[in-house]
Amino acid sequence: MTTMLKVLKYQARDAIRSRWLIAYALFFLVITDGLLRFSGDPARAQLSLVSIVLFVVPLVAVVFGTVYLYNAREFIELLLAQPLARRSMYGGLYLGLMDRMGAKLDEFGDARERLAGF
Amino acid sequence: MILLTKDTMDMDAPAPLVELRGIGKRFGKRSAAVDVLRAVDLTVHRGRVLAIVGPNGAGKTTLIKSVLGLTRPDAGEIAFDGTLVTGSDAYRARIGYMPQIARFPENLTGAELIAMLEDLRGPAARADRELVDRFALGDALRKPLRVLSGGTRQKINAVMAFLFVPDLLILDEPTAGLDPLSSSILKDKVLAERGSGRTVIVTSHIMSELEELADDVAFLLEGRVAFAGSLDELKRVTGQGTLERAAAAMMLRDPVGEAA
Repeated sequence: MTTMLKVLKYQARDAIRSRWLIAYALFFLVITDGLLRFSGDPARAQLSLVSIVLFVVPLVAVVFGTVYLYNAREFIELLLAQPLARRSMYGGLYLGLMDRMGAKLDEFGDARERLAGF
Repeated sequence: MILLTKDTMDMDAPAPLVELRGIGKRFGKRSAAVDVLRAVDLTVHRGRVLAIVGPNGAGKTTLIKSVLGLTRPDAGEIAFDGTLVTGSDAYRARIGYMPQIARFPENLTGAELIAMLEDLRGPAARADRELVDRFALGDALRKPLRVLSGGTRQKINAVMAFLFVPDLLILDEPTAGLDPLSSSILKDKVLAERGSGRTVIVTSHIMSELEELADDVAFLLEGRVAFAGSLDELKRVTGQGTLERAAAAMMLRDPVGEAA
């Protein structure tokens, strides 16, 4: 379990510095801001946001996750050459990726609440 | 025919560090299956440098990966220091592996990567940072790996293999992409490690380099061990003066030895 958390920690640190994830967060910020400004009705803006999130988040999670893991092939090999169980290594990678995709959602949620306060 | 001479080696040597017995590995489905390794028997002696030589596709990397447990052989067994390794992870704490391709998470720095490995190996792991100084990597370790050149990444790759003072070092094409100075430093390090009793398995396509490093040679041909023994023996058997000539002579022979 602890090795899983260690893999998660470093892998998440790598992913959070990815330009794509930063762009992804900015995308949600802009969308949220735009919807709130132009719809004039926070309830309708939220509804539109929900449909965008439902569509975009799984899509980006699948694409980003696939590309990330594909590029990490050699790194995964190096990790597997360490004295770790395969299960905790892959578990750490998976949770690390999921955590980053989720963290962006949290940031998006905060931004929405902050904007809704205006 | 090709002589199998490993029995003559076993006489005076202490118990071998790694022993492979009857390793077989097949990739692919029935119709398009490729037998990458066929009943490979190989002994890796303590305190010696073993060079694995063979043409492209002979199964060198698959053999190395089997020792590491990255590939699971279909047949045969591998013993590390007298214990079978099937399904266990702990023995890898005593192995340092330098993969052929040095690609790491782009946004981490070298220092973070090394910290991660130290973290994963636990506090008991001793860290040998000699190569960091020899390669003058101080500044490079603070930059994200994405901005470093291929050679610099290969140096970090080497640092990570030697980091934990392993009993067995596995180096897959270690000097690929290194300048002459850096590859000399790396070779000196390998010989120094051997001098302090560590065992090394190395593959390379540069025969002159292996000639400098190797004590023993295992020649793989189409998934079989065509020769295993000391470097001098290989030269004597083939009647050639250099490893390069000897390897070429081995390749020209009847590829599938009936004796193997």
